Amino acid sequence: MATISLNHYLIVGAVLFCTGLFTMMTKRNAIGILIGVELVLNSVNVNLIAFDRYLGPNRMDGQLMALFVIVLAAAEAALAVGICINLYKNVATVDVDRATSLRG
Amino acid sequence: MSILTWIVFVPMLGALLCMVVPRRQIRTVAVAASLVTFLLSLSLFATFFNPAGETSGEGFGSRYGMLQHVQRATWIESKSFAIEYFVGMDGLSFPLIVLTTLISLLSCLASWNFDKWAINKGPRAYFALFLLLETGMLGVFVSLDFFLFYIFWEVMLLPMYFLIGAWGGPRREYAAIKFFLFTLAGSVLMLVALVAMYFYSDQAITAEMARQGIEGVASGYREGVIISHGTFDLMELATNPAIQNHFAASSTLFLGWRFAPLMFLFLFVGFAVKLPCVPVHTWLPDAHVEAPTPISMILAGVLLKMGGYGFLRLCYPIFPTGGMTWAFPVAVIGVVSIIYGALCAMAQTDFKRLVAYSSVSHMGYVMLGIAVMTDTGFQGALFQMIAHGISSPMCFFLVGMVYERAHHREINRFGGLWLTMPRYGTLATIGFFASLGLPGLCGFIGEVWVLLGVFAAAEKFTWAIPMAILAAAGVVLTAGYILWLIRRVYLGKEREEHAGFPDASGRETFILVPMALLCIALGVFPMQTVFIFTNGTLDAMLAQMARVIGMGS
Amino acid sequence: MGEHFYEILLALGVLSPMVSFWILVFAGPKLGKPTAGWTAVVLGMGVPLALATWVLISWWWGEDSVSRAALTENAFRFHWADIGSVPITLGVKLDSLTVAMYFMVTFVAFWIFVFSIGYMSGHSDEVDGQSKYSRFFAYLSLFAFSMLGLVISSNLLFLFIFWELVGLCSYLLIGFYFDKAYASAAAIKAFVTNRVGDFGFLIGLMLVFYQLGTLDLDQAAAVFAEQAATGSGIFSSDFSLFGWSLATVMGVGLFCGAMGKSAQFPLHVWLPDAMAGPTPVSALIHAATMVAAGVYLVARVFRLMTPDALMFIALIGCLTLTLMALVAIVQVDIKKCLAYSTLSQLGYMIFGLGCGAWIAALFHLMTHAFFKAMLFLCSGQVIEGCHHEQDMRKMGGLRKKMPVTCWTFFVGVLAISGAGIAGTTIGLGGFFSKDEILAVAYVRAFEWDDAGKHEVHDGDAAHALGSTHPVTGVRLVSDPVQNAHGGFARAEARGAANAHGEDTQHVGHDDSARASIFGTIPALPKWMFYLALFTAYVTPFYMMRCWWMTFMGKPRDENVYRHAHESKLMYVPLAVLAVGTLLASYFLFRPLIADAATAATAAPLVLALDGHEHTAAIGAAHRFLTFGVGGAFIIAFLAAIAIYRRGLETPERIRRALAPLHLVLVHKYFFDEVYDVIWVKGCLLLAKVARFIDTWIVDSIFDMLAAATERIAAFSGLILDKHGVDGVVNGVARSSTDFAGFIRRWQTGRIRHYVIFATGVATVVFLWIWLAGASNADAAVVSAGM
Repeated sequence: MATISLNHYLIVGAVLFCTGLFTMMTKRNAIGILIGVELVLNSVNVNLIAFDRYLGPNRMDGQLMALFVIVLAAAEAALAVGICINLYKNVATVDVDRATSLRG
Repeated sequence: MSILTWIVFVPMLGALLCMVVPRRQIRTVAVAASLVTFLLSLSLFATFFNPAGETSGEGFGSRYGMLQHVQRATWIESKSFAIEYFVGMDGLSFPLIVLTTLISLLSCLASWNFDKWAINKGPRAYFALFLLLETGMLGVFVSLDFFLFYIFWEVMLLPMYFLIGAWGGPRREYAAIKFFLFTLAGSVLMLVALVAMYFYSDQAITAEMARQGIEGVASGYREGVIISHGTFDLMELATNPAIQNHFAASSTLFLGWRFAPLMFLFLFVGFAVKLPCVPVHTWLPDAHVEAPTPISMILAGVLLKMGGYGFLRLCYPIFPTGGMTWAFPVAVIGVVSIIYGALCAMAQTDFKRLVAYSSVSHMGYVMLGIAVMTDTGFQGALFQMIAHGISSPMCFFLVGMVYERAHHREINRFGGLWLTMPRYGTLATIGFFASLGLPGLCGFIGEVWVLLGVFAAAEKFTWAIPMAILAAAGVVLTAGYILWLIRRVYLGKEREEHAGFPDASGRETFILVPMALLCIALGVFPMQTVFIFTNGTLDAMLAQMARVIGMGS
Repeated sequence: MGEHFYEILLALGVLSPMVSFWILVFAGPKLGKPTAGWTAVVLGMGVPLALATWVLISWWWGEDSVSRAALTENAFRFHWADIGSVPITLGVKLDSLTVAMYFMVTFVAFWIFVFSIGYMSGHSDEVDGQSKYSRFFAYLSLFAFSMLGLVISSNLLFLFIFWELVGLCSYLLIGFYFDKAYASAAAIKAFVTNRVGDFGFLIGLMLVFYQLGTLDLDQAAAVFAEQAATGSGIFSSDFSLFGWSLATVMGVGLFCGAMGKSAQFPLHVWLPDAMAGPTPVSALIHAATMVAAGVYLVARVFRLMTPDALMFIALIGCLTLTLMALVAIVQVDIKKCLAYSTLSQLGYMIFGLGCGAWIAALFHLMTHAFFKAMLFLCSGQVIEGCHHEQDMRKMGGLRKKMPVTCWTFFVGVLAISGAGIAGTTIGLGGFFSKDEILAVAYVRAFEWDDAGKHEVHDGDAAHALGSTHPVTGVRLVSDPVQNAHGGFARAEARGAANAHGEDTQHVGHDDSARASIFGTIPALPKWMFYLALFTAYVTPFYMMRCWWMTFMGKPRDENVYRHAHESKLMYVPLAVLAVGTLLASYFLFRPLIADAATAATAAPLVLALDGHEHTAAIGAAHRFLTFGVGGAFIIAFLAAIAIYRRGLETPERIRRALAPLHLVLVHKYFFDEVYDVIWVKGCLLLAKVARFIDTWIVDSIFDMLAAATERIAAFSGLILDKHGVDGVVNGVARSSTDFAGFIRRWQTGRIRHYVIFATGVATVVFLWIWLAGASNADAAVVSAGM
């Protein structure tokens, strides 16, 4: 079995990133968009950790960055879900295109 | 399988059972599950008198890292690291485990009238979350692998968030999110410390192996075990000389700062939020005021103790030099918490908020006792945690009983409750006097031990005596606000609008009496109830710390 | 007799009231009215009294002084807990003082318990009468437990624990009529004021623990003496506070506790208010026993006191005894008058201890307990008989309606005034005890140099004095104590000798070290003695005034007089206590206390003064003073009678003439008012400030952080939305003609459009970098990865 190189990780990251991007582009459901965002963030994490492992194995910058991303993602998700719930409460839908009441 | 594993996961089984049983049997299942857990934890007492293996005849041991009921299994493993399922118990965690199961049982009983609550939707979810919370709390106290510890720490957080946020008072969402964000902010830093401690222990072990040209380094506390890479094992981190040397060395840097003080600070912030101490205490009054009574009991009785437990389990044994570096600020925060908390409590007009602030004040003693790193101080701090773990749930339950009857908590609108409800009044007096620190009741021992411990640290720290004197002044303030409270609520003329209040019911008395008895028992026999279990471990821990501090200087 | 015979009896006597307490708590209301009371009388006090009597008899007449000393030495100790690694033992401090105190407390308390049954049965409680009745006796039992525990504690920590418990009982009993606002306010005042004193106590306790390494009374004293001898430990510290050494601070700290409990100036404010409690409680707790606990504490830690600390104690005692006696003159409430008299007498005791009159002060404690308890019970009779009228201006002439009360009260008045026949040993309690305090004070103030000189004349005699007790001749048991004791006496002698320019070569090195630590014991300022002497004239005056206003003269309020009656149920306790007062008791208590003084007071002063009151100087002073003081009561009685003989006109004229003075006295020197402003209001203000900080600063910082985040989000969202709105509402086509429209086309407000746009731009940029050069691109990727 061939050894796993940096490229493998980068490919996984790229695939994840594209999936996320595609999700964000195509979904109208707020939750769907949120999931897309999470995918993108996690693809970045994969890249960060991969680079850390292969390019700077004795340093921790990449891992630390990844940790911060994880934490920020958690906070962001909490906020976003809060927004979604409020959206749902106000307009009874999570379709972002139909949330138009703030448009003056 | 270790009994500790059973203790941790029986509540979770109960939670699963709650999901499937018919609706009107949910609370029975929940009480049964917490009762079983409590009984299991009581069986731990037998361990003390018949300890297993190497420690036989020594109770909980004379060496730090002497554990009972150990169970360890590799959980997540890779080439370079292993995360273990590692649970065990020593004199530090034992009383807290029993306290947790007891308070959980009592507050489960306090939830018995769930159907009569203002928000009585979803008993299934409520009781399931409640039991999940118990699992999380017990997990924190038994796990000795940092990774496992962290997981339980977070597991405990979510049920609490929902329990406050869904079944709380009018501002429950605000309180819940505040609780959540404060704790999360603390645990972020803990997470950084988690990773860093692993990597730096790995460095230490690797360097030691290279220096001696051997395949592994002997474990710091297990006979005949060698380790060859970094570890999350809390005991190993605290006892392994190679790791401790590396952590304490002034040349070990993390992002340009000295390692031990910085890591100490990271962990400290996480636990200080939980304790809580001034100035990160503001989540506590809000959370308490909004949380339903049983959740307040858990919050005050057990959750706050995790902060103190974290100090004693992680901060100090692993980074004793950090403890020396930060001793003064920590003690100042402790004293400020004592006095500031007491003053804030004095100014409150909301009954529950007052009790919440008194918790801040009382936990200040814990912080102060730990800060000076003397045996008396540690003993006092741990005792204070346990004493407060009994008296403050009692106070919260007493408040809850009044609220159920009067539907408000304005202190100034009460009066003469002792005449209306004599049995309740008598029990309330015991509870509040225990909180006041009256000799003969549990609050006193902790305070005096802490004060004496701080005083005894005068050789180490020049500031110790002024600190002790300031903290002793807190005693007067405490007497002031508690007596004033008793006067306004329980004494005085009976009020018209309270005339119909029923006295404490059988269930309520059943919940209060064990706590009242424990308040007295702990106050009269502190050694037989607490110190014989805890002191061996604490002394061993201090001896361990003294070795490290000696090495560093 | 078995081993630890006395300890077991005394401990059983402590536990018995506890049993009574629990019975009354759980079954009290069911037991009903008389039964609950009798339970308390029998279990709560009867059993302890019987045991105390047994102990007293076998201790005093069954043992000789040698076996007593051995029993003291080998008293039982139980290992209770460890503080750090220092073991804390629970045990019985077994010596003559304990036995005497224990007997006094049980005896007085027993009769007060009996009295209470009569007193409470007359009480019709509108609310919840049954449970309130039993609750009263439950509290009394708890008090009995705590007070007896306090008396026998061998350990400062336990002393402190029981100390707080008696404080709690006091709190509960003062606030017994808690439906009355003033009662619960008084209760809180008492508890909190005591806590202020306890704050000092706690600091003293911590210093003892930290510096002496033990909390056991005897061990602490031994260590203290040793450290004093070697100049180590607490004496090696160069700490100084207002010129006080650390050892002095320790002593003063411990004394602070006594100031709270024994209501010494300036913490005296709670005691008069404490009269809000039922009268038997005032008699038991706030006159006879609990308030004396402070004096008892000082006596117990006497060996830990330095000369500076003792001087402070004397000063506080002197101020208390004078100021409070003056206030007593203007009181019109019968209980308040007695309360201030109690304060003044407690001041005498504390002053006595400060002077070094250890024996006399404790003797005064004992005699005072008897007559003051009796006086309070009499006042209880009066109040109960007059339907809760406490104002003496409305009484008068009651001797006809309540003769027994009248004459027992008079016995008390005589006793407190120190009545006796000068020059003989015939007299009531106060005659001996108060005069002895004054005699010692006189020597300390006027003949102190001479006393020192007297010891220099035979230096070896001073040493002999140190090691044997002058009365009993018992050799001291504990060696360090003995050495320190003797050494100090010699050092003291040397100091005095230097002053007189005499040869001091025989003084060893030890002593000079010691002398440099202690300095010499200064003479008492003369004004202190004069104040105490002056007060000895004030006391009979206000007591006679009180008695005369109540019982003699003509009735002033018809209504009160008509209803006045005497309750026969309460005769017995009154009579017994009156007899006790008559006999209490130069012949029992004083020898007991003097016996205890041998070991309990290995401090220099006692030895130089009190322990040998028959020495020439003291004896002479005593004889001289008995004429000065012993006659005082006659002069003062006559003055009081002269003023109050014809009702209230004469006093009223005097009051008008001295209006400003009267105002100050009636307002008790404005202490309550000042404390209210400074402490109560100040504390509440501070609390409000803290709350303000908490809600508006600490909390709002976090809220502001949250709000700022929210604002930023809202702001950007609004801007984006606004532009997006335009784009949607006005339509792309209509706005495509101008540049703004061109921009707006991209601002659709739909996330996916932004994503597509961003992706497109990113792709373009990426392509551009890629095409610009493969090597550059590689470098960019690598640096991004880092």
